[in-house]
Amino acid sequence: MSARCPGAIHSAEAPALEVRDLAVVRNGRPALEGVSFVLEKGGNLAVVGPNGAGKTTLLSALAGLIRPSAGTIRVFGQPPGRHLCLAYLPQRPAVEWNFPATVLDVVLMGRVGQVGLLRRLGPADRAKAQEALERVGLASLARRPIRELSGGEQQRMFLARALAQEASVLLLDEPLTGLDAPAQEGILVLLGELTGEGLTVVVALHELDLVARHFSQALLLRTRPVALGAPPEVFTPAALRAAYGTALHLLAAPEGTLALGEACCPKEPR
Amino acid sequence: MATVAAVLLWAGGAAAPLLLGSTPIVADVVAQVAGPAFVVEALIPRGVDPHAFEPTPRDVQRLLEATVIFVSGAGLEAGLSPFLALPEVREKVVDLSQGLPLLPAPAHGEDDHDEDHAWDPHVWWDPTLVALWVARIQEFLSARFPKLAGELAARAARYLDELSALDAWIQAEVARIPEERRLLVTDHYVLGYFARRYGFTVVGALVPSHETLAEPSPKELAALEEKIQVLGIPAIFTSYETPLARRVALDTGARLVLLPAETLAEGGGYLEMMREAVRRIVEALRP
Amino acid sequence: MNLVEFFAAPLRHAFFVRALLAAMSAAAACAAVGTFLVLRGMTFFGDALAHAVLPGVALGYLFHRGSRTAVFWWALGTAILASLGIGWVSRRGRLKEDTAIGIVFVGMFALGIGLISTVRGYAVDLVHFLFGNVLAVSPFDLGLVAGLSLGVILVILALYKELALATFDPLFARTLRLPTEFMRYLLLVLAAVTVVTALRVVGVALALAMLVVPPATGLLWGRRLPAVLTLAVGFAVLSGFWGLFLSYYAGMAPGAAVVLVATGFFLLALLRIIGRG
Repeated sequence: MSARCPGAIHSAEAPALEVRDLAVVRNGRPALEGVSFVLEKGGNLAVVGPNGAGKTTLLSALAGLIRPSAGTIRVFGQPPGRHLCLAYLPQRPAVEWNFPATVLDVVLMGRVGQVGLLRRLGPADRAKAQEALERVGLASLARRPIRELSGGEQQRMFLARALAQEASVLLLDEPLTGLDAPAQEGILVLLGELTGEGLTVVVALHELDLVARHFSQALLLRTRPVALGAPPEVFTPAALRAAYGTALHLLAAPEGTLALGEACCPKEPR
Repeated sequence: MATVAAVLLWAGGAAAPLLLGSTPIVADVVAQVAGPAFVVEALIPRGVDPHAFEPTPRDVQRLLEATVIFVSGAGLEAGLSPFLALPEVREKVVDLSQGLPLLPAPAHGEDDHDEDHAWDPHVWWDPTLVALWVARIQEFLSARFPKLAGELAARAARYLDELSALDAWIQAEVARIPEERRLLVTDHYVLGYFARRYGFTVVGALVPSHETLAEPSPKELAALEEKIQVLGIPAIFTSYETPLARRVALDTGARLVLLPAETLAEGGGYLEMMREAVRRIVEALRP
Repeated sequence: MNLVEFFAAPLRHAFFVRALLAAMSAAAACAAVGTFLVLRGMTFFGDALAHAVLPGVALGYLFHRGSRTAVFWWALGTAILASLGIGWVSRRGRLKEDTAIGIVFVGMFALGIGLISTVRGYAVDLVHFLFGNVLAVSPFDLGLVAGLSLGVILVILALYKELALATFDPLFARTLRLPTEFMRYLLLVLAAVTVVTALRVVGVALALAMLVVPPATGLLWGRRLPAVLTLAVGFAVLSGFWGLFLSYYAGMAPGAAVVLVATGFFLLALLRIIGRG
């Protein structure tokens, strides 16, 4: 495992992610309080909650991009700041889509951390990138300029970049926003396959039905954790109302409970 | 005339030495002394603001081909300084302001460093200083072209006569202005040498600097407007009709009088330029 | 006039050869740095910097009257300060870099004008102490600009993949634990050094145009960043070359001629795109 994940030594027996009493203060206000969970290697966790509940904050803290004000985060037993094996995909990657690059170029950027300063990317890196593209089903688009991609293809490209990075933990912030239903299914099936191969996945999502179908664990968040466990146990009317308040309309659907709330508005206050 | 001479000599197959003057005024004075044995050209063409002049490769080639390059100096050609500092050019430059009794630039900075003052470069407003240019040009060319020394001396003497005639004429003209009215307000400080020679006082300038980026401070402008009104100064002299000059003229009731800038009109020489300028100054200031 | 003579006639003059080499190397450095600036939406960095160095020029002139070289070092120091200021303001103020550029630029420019207006006695345009002319390049200047060009291109080659990544996706670069802040400031300082040196050696029109026009041409023509960079530098060098010959034969100011040729290349690339639909 440590060979796959340069930058930090992994303790063999430690869980992939271990979060204890995590709290984050942003702009003088608590954005996250008392979050604790453990995720074993190959596990998956969906983080749900209304806008402003702290989903993005939680993922950024896990990625080591913001500093917790209290509590600890351990990735394979180590603090997150030293890991290259964490791949974080923000909600709207702040990239310039007119950048002169092909899909393969972007996926190759996943190798930059591994190769190190003053070194050039070699054939081995190219092979890894190609492999990642095949894994996400984008091999045929390798030479396409990125500005010509659809939304689903963009997400797959970033997933391929995370794979090329040889990440063992994927942190995805609302990766389904703006995708049509088949593309959403496609991404979730792919994530399922990846966890089957031993990757650990944490995804922030709004679509409770999809969480119920594709995830084994869910964390319902409203600054503080409201409920944690298997989706059917978490998505009780009482817990959902506690998280979403009156803004939520609950619908009984064939797949289970549908939460119709602010899911339409993808932008969380930062 | 210089051009005609050049064509004749070129037709005859002998190349006449090329003398360059930085500005049309310098070139005209050089041409008067040098005569038809030389080709004399101005580097900055007539009617072009020296500050806006940008040389082309042909201009640089002319600098390289020139036998001697006469510059007015004292900072006037700052924009050309990189060209005049070229290794192939440096040796051929004659600075006509060197050794002249220069006026310091109107500096109010208390912490001025003594040895390298900035100087007022507008020396040609005093014909007696131009006479010193003439002596310098004649001396330099005679040393370089000894065979022509006699002719150069004769031409220089003739031109010096014309300069002293000009000087006498200006004195006579200026005498028509009562002494208490010999007060000058200009847009930039350009008439310092004229004032020194003919007993004028430079009361002030709208933009108290030669710096084109400089703007007058409101306090200075107010003080100047007050002076113009208290002293009853009838005219403001300017080379270009700027909005600032127009406004101050309007505020104070003074007339705006255009003076030739650092260039020459088509066809005219230095002597004609000076006569025209003096006529306008006298016309504006006499009772 | 035959073809050999067309090229040989101007090249007989040492000043023209120096101008040609200086224009081509300054253009190459400007285009290489400019490609990254254009990609980051910092197109006006060059113009802003040309104004922002004014307080340095004023102080340099005050302390070392008339020495062009001393004024250049002052301007260079001011430019580096200004570019670090742009980086700092945009980071602390949560502003886009172009806004930060605008703020730092007007502030520094006003400081320069203020300094000049309170301390009288400046002879002529201070700007002449900073802005050179490609036809007046001294052997020292040529060495300066050739060294700069080589240095800039070496730095960009050495840090190519990090610069590309930090420009395309700075957040991802941070998750890879790359020194993205260092990269940002490095690019700003690199740009500052390039602009001030190019201003001194080849003049204002040429320097500022080469920062934007060849990179834009490269972006129209190339599909991948390595190609874009190569094309930008290539078009810049060609513009320098043909521009100086145009200047020689048409009796045109050299800066304007080089910019015209560069703009011609850009129009060509634009027509090519339009022609393809």
